[in-house]
Amino acid sequence: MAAAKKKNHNWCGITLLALYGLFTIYASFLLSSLNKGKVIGKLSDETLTGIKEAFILWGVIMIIGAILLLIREYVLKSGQEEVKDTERGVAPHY
Amino acid sequence: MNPYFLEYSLVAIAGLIFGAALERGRMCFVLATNNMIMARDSKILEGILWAFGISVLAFGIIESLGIVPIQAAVTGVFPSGWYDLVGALLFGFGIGLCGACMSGLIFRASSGFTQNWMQLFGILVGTIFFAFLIFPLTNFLYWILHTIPWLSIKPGFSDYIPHEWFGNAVWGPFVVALIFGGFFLVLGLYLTKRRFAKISKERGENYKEPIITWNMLKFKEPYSPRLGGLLFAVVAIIVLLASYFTVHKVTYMGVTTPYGSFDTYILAPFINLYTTVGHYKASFLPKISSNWFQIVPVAIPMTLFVITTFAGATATAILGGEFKWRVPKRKIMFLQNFIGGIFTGVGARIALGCNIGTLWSGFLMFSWAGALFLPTLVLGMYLALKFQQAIW
Repeated sequence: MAAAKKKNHNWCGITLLALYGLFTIYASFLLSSLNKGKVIGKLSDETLTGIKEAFILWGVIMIIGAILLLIREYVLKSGQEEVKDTERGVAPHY
Repeated sequence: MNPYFLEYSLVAIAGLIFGAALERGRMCFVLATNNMIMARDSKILEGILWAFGISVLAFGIIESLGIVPIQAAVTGVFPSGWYDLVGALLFGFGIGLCGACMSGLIFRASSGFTQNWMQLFGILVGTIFFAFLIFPLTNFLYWILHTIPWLSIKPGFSDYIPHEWFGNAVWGPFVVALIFGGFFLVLGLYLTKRRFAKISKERGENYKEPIITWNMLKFKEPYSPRLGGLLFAVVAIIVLLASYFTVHKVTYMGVTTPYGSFDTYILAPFINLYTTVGHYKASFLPKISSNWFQIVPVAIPMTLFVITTFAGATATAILGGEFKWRVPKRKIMFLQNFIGGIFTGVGARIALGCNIGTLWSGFLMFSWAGALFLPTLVLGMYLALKFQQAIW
């Protein structure tokens, strides 16, 4: 009897990737307010702007990456393979 | 272009590569140690040794050639001392309980290992515990910088081995790199040769492993230890050069202080972390410190680095068909990982870093931090292994 095909959880991974992106964008917007309360080492306006822009850029890149993986998964269907067993040798207890 | 934007963006690219190297190369210090002790399998340890060897040699060359001048390199050197020994013991015990170090945690959590998300949560809680209790109550900063000089080395030139050994000679970093990096490389080479010889004997044919193949590049196969090690070194070099040539401030590798930033971002909407809630008065102490969050930057390049590392590891896990939510059979493992995470977080804060920020970067910055961190880290991991064998 053929072994049962294991479930692919790629949609969870794609959601996770999008969440990293959203967290990065959220963190960028918090920076200014956090900087006001800082006791030591306040950031200058130039520094703050640069950091915020980089956070937003990378947040957007991660979300675009998630969308591309979504297309690969559900439009091109090239990601829908059997999930590999990586537990062995990588982590105990599973 | 805004130099800070450029620095953070370049460091983010390094984070993506780091995530891929971690996930594809299975680079985890606990896994390397456990495999070596229990199964005599050196494959992952080889990757770590290659990473240390190549990167330390590269940093020696970069500093000796003056690409990053010694004067700039030492600005990033932080103090080392007794707290490396104490912190590494707690940290080693914590990661031993969790079965994953800071780098292993990132690639496992990113691949869907649920217990490692619990470890991450434990680290965040441990960091808060340290920030509001241990840090102010023990007057931690003062003890590090002033009171035990015979067990502490001050930052900068005082803890820069090339300066200690060879004064201001420009070739100093290269010679020190040759000693430390050479040691790691020779050990890595020896273990690789020994593993090849063992497999050749078992199979009855001459076994050789390619450094890189198309299947590795297409995420179909895990990376070879040498490719994983090489990518680690590339990442450390990108971080160093990006920081120096953009904002003229040297940054070494580190992932635990960014976890402190995660605490800040998650808790900031609810409580003011910069308040003096943790400002305890203890008359027997020479000086009162505020809570730890008050002395760390709001954002450092490595915060974005860690986020993109998670993203890189998740993306390669999906592309390699290895992403899967994995729940441990014994649910008690969640509690063990949470407690282990607290030990990990507190230990890393006491040692001023983890196996990346203090151990690896300690060698990269040519300070004693790495050498001090290593023995008690191994002892802590060994104790955790024995503890688990005793209770399970």
